[in-house]
Amino acid sequence: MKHEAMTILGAVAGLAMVFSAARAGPATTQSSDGAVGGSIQGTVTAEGDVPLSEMVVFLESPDPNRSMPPVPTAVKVSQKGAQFAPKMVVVTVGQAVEFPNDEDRPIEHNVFSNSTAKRFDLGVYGPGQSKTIVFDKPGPVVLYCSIHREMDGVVYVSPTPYTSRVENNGHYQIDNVPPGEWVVKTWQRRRRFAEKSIPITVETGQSKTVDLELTRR
Amino acid sequence: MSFRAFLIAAALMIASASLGCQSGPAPGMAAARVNVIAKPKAGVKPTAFAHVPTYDGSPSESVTSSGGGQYARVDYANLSDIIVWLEPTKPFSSSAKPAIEVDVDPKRPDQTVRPVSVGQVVTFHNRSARPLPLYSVSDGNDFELPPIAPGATASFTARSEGLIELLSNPAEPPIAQLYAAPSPFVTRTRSGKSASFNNVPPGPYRVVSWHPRLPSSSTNLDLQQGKVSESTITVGVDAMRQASSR
Repeated sequence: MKHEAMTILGAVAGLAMVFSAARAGPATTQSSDGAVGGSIQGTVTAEGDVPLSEMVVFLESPDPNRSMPPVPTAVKVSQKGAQFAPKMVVVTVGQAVEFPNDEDRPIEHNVFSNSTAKRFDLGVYGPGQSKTIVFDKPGPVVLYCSIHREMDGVVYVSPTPYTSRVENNGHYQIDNVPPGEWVVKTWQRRRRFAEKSIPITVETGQSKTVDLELTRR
Repeated sequence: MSFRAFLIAAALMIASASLGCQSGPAPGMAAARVNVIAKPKAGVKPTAFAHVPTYDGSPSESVTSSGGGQYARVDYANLSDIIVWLEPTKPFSSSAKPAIEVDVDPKRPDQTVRPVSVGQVVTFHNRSARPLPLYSVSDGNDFELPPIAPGATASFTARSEGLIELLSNPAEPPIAQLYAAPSPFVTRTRSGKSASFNNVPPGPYRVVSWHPRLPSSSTNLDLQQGKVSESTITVGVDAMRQASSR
């Protein structure tokens, strides 16, 4: 009975969050002065056969007071088969993540993280229940279940919504970037190279190519 | 006592403390024994699954479930790679800790986490049959060493607290892992065992634990001259405050 009540409460909270985010509208393609955004694309290259798909390219603003578009709606990271699905997700600061237990058998999980960007413990809960947490600081948040030893995942919290997962061939693309000064940054789930940080200027309506060569130093 | 003799005595003091000698502290010094217990999250049903393999603390590249629909669980009774150190709560000065030697061979990557101290020299001994380039991109401890000839050594100094992943080929997992603690009094243990520190200057300390996966725990311990002070530290998710979720 208690579990059912918690499930209903969780579902109501999740719906309220989705509706709230929907009212905020989609990410704008214009800056605050009405200018149309540009785009950034390029190729990430690195020595060796490193899985590039587990890398993220994102933009950071050198101006901490720069206004950002509304935070996107919550994303879902399921727990099923004693695994997180997806195993890696990229969100924006302020964005929520739902953690439903989708097991089809009575298997409980205890999702937690000990990462600097977000330390949390969602407690133990069973199938049909879900908990949601807001990620309010940028950086990687490594997920574990305290019960199941091979259950791990990661939420990468980007400081801005301007992000791109790197494709297997190394290509990335970030669209609808407001004009102005930005810093292109990289993050690797399994860090094998020094991260990149490249200041750039985005101009209205233009596509800029920024190729990134990852090196050991 | 000459300065050289003082340095040798100080180095021996730290070495014996790190080795956890059980013979009691030297005159004017103190000792500590820290019992380490790892506990599962409160409320977890302990008999829900029959198959409970040992969690070895090393990052797992593969994803599996064991047969019969049972999923591999963390074995808290045998949790390994728990790093424990004594952190002085008052200003403390000590001479440099002796260098630690780490054998490296890409064909035999070390799955454990070795404890080192910030400021300590780590000497890598190439045990493979070919020249071995070594590097790290870990925060605060990044370095790149020129290829080390087979049988030869090369060193770096741990500069910052945290996990140091030693890499050689970027396409492969780390060949060794170190945890640099901000104290010369650091050791590695496992749940159900104790960490011993001998010949430690008396005074107030914070006992701190680190594990690759679980939250750090800490407790205070006052070390008294000539005595072995005992403390217990509990490792587990319950060491962390439960997050308020929606």
